[in-house]
Amino acid sequence: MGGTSTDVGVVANDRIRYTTAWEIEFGLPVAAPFIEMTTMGAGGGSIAWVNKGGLLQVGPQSAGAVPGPACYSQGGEEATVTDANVVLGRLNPDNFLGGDLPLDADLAFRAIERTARDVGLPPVDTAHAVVEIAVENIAEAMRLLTVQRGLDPRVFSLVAFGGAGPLHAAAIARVIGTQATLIPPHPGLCSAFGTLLADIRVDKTWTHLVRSDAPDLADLDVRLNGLVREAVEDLGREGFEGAPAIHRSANMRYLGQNYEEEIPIPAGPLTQDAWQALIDGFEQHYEAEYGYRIANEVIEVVQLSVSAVGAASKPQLSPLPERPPAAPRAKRRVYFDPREPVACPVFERSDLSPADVIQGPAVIEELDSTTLVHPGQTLTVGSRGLASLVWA
Amino acid sequence: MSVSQVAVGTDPARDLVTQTVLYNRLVGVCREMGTTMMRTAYSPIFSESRDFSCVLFDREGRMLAQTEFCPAQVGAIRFVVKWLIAELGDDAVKPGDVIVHNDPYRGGVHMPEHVVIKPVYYEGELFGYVANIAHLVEIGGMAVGGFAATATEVYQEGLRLPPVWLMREGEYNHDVWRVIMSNHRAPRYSWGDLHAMIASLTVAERRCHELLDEFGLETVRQVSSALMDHAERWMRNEIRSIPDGEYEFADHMEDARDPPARDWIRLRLIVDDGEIVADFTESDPQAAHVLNCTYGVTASGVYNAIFHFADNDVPHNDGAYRPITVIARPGSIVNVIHPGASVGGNTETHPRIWGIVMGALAQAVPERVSAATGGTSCNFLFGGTHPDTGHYYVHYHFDGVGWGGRAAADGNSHQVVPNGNCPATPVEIFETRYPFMARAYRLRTDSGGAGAQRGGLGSDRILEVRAPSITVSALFDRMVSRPWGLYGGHTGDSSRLLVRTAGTPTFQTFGEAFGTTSNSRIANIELREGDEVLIGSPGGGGYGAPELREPEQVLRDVRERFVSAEAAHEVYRVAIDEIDGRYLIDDAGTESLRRDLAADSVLEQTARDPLRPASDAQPPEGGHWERLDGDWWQTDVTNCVFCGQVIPSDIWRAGDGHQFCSKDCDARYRTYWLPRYGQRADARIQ
Repeated sequence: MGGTSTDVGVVANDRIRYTTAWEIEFGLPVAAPFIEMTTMGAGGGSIAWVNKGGLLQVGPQSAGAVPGPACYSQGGEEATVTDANVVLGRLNPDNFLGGDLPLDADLAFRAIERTARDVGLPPVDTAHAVVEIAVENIAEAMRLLTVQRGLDPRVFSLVAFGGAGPLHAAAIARVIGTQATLIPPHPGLCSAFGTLLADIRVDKTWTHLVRSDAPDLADLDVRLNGLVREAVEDLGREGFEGAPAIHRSANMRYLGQNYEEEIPIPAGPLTQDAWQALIDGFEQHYEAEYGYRIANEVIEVVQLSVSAVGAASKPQLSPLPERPPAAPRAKRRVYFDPREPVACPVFERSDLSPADVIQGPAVIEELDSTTLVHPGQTLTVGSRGLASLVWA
Repeated sequence: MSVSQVAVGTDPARDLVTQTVLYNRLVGVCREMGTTMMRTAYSPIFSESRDFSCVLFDREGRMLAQTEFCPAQVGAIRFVVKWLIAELGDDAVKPGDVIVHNDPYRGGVHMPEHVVIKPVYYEGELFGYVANIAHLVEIGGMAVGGFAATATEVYQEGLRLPPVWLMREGEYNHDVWRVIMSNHRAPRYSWGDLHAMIASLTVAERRCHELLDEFGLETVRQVSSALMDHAERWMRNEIRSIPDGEYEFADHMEDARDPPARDWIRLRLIVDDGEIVADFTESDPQAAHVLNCTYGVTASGVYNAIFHFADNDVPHNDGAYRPITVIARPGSIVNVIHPGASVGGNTETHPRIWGIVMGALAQAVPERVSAATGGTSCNFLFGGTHPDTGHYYVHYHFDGVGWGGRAAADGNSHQVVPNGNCPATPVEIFETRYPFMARAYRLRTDSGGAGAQRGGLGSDRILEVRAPSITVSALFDRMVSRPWGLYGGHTGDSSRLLVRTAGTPTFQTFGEAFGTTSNSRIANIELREGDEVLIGSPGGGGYGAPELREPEQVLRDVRERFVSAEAAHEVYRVAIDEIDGRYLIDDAGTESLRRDLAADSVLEQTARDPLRPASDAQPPEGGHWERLDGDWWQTDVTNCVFCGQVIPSDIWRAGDGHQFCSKDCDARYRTYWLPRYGQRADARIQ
């Protein structure tokens, strides 16, 4: 969860889900392989507004970074999720981005007050409602990817990152019922860190109809080698050095069908034996998948594909040094219930270590994010800094 | 523990998350069946048009889940599977068996619609059935493409299959395959497509096993049962939003001959505290043509309209159908008996029944219905030998029509009738697979019924023959009459099917060009190289008086050529000027055109005083259950005296000797039927 939106993805049984029907915007599908993600217009900058029916709504419009939330003092006047968090005491106006961007709590309060007049609620209740609505919107996106796919969110953990993620994660987890909430070190930098660790992959395809009863193997071999060469060159241009892993495959079907199965092509030159192995591979796959094969039917290759994957190095995070249990740096009034603020201890994330067991309510601050520990929750820290929140 | 395993609470049937997760898993199984079907099929009717549906049943034949592929099939497949279970019995079906069935008189839809089912056993116990219903593109009979528009009895419509085994315990039952393959004109398609259907069952059976491994048989049964009750409650609440009362509506099917022949379908729709009775008793007798419906088709037309009307999220399982009762007299156009033809009932009569239910509901809830859709599938069948490959091909094409305008929006343009979510054949398929060249494919200006909310537009498609010969057949409706509008909305344009033979200048009807007696029902006409066929689909009816349409919307329609500037002036009374090729509204002119309109031109809804169904009922007079004797192939099947359904094996014999499919029908016969129709009732028992 960042400034303008929240992206949700599911990793089930250690597998990332891919889709070829990913939409860059609603109604604009791109038929290429993508990691399956759902994007919600709910971030720190999402604007609170009142619809024609008098109901409070949050997003998908965003104040962005400029003018940004009202509390940024850059001319924004509309109340945002960040303003609501400031009013509720959940964000520290003096320690946002480590104090580099002081927030104006008065401007936040005034913006929320204007929205409060429109909905007829006290300002603190309004701020609370704004956060709750954003939380509900995100939870709904998570339901689409879990419950709607037959996956029970109650056996998943929620990994919360992006600057605004850890601030809302516990509330989201409560709505959808996930077990533990995991907060990686430096949540605001987690996406960038992940990009550095990701393998580099180049895909090349050549679409051409080849019948199994009359293949020109020499020509196909030349084409395949050409695709491999192009893919490896592209990897090189992206700065990859070393030997990439090469995956070659053919999209195949029985003549007359309209959809194809992707079958790996054996390594080495495309000899008659390799071709026969490919055909056998298709028939075995087809039978395993669908329970039958079609004897003596011509098989059609529709497309050759090559992907070259350059593995990125995967550094280990260093273990945290041993420390005594952390002491709160401060206390401040935080609203979990809009009617009753609590005096809430504030910790610095870099003070924490496996020695700590922090009972909520508590606030954990760091340069790039703020983690909220609700009353009734417990936060523990792993040896390499991964924080885990569970309900008691 | 697998992540998809549910953290089951103490009572899974009451645990809402478990219910939702499991329901979506069941739907997921059906969806995966559909994907398998698309991926493995040979005919574009599956891979492109998706004319099939995938359904999951429990061991009693109650529908647990389905996918949203084809509503006409989903409504009817319930009857097919119930029939199968009743006729064959639980113990006749072994693991690995696959049974096929297309008999219209035994719960079927129409002959091309083949159902395959496979039992799912779990740890030696029968859990339920996976089933797939799909339209095979060629099944023999008198006309190419299994769509004999001029047939008068079932034996002309193709190969009729009672429930027979395609596979026995995983092994091919070759005898049945040989019979099928030697009676279909394009056996390679039938072979490939039947295998695609079986493949979808194989995949679904595997997924059911995984699901049962995870949740356990008992949990799945309890939760399924709870889900059906949940769907029933929800559907009753949806129906309660309709004012109680009796609403009548009628419309007809027609043959475009001289003079046109018409068959009327008359509906009395009774809404009573969360229940609906759709009574078609006063409809015309069964006809000697193909537009008769099986009971399943009639019922699914009603279900389809009610589901369109109800909340989208009502789970589509057996429970949702419980509050809906359909009465269809055997031997009438809405309940065909042997040996009546019925191939067009599913494509033509089903959408008409859908519209008739909408028309009846319009009197109760005008803001939630639509005017008439184009209401024909524009069935166009063809086959021949492809000059490029020397292979025999055959294809079944249907086209999009205009849908009716509704309170909140214009009708959709060029969309296949509400029977199915079936896309029309793409131009690319016509031109790459078959020797046709698409010469035109366009929306037809002014074909949508004028209205405050305009009816959707019909289309024109011109196909040129690029082979020495192609044999074509067609079945159209709405060629003479026009789809009706509501509340002052105008009718949509009618359909047309024309041909321009090579070397002649103009398009003619098939009657003019080939001397066929009908212009809307033709079979086995041979077209030659260079001939062109024009398939013109009807538009939808308009909703509300066209003079009330916002001038800006009329302007947009004129700019898009949905509406001509003349019609804008004459019908919508909006003055539009063309200046430098750009259309602009003439405000003063429009004001003067619209000034004369009477203030009361807003037609009031025609809701009538609701009449409560008669309630001075006599109680059932006792009775007993009987097992029907006789072989399954006997043609004198037994129909329920009240609802008209065929009774597969067990009948309820009432004290007065009448035969019913259930005690419930006996009771309703006395509370509903007798007070209304009295002694006439006996006329229907033959």
